[in-house]
Amino acid sequence: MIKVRFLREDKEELVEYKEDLKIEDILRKFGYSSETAVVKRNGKINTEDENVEDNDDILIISVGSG
Amino acid sequence: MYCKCGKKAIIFRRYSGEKLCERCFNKSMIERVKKVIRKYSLIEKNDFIAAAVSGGKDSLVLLHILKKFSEKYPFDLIAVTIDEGIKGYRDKTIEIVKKNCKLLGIESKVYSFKKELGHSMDEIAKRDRKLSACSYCGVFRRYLLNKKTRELGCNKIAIGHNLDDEVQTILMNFLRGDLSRFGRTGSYYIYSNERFVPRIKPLREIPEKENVVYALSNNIEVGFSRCPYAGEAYRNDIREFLNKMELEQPTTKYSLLRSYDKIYPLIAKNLAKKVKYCEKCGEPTIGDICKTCEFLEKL
Repeated sequence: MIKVRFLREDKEELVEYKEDLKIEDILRKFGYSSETAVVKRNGKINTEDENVEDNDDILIISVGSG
Repeated sequence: MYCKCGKKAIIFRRYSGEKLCERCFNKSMIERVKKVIRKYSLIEKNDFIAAAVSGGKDSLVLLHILKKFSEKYPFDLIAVTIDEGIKGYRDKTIEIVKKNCKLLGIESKVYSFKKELGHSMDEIAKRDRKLSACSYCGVFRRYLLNKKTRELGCNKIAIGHNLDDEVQTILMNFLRGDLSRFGRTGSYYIYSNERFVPRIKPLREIPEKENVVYALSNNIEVGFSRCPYAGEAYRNDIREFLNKMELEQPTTKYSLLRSYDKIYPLIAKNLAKKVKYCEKCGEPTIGDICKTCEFLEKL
């Protein structure tokens, strides 16, 4: 399982791991895109094209305003 | 994905095709802000600049970058924060501003709606009103920023408007047919007035997302919470539209900004209204009575 946390929304979801699952797939699943969010994978900023691994910790930071 | 220097990329700029590692990205951010400052002569020798800092990512990234520049170039910097009086939101971001200012060694000033104008945003939001909370907040914030920075002796206000803010505003004003405002979104001012402190926007060519990346990669503590009264539906629609267009056709936002910048010198003089003084408070306005006095009368 992959833990997906949302910084601004202060919530957490679990996503089932699949082979070749990319960060951009996770963003899309939750209604985000490379334009609207920045992603930290296991504490490091990542580009959206990267594959995720099982048990990864994904933090989605909505770009929003402010 | 790898940076041209061989290190792992942290960002892919779809609009330019650049893949940048943390070090190259930070270097590029600084260079781009510098380029905007030079292009429009936004900062000059011996300027006293008030950075309008809310505690959000844009204004704090701006503060950190300006502090870096102020160590090399001869200008003074102060942080000015407007406390709208939104419990559970602004009180938290003010603490973040203070921490950043302490860290950077920058003087911080805070001015509140309640003390200066007699009403907090929490009080205004509870009232039966025709306008949105954002309408009151925007007018009062701009009024106080101008008045207080002028009293401090500042000759410029630096605000953290990013590329997304700029193109949203340009498109909104154009679609609404608000040509007076449409003629006021440029990077410099056509008319000057002794009671009006000109605003500069050094981040106007930096996409919003890159401010987030810069804040994260430099461990800048910023407030990510949302204002409980935020909800300017029209701006949100425009933001969604522009983000969708940018995904389909990267460079959409830059093209819009560049087009606007090209026509700005032609439209600004004709569309921007001349600044006068409010008959009640004496502050600069384009009408006979400023919006702040008009709104305060209604409250």
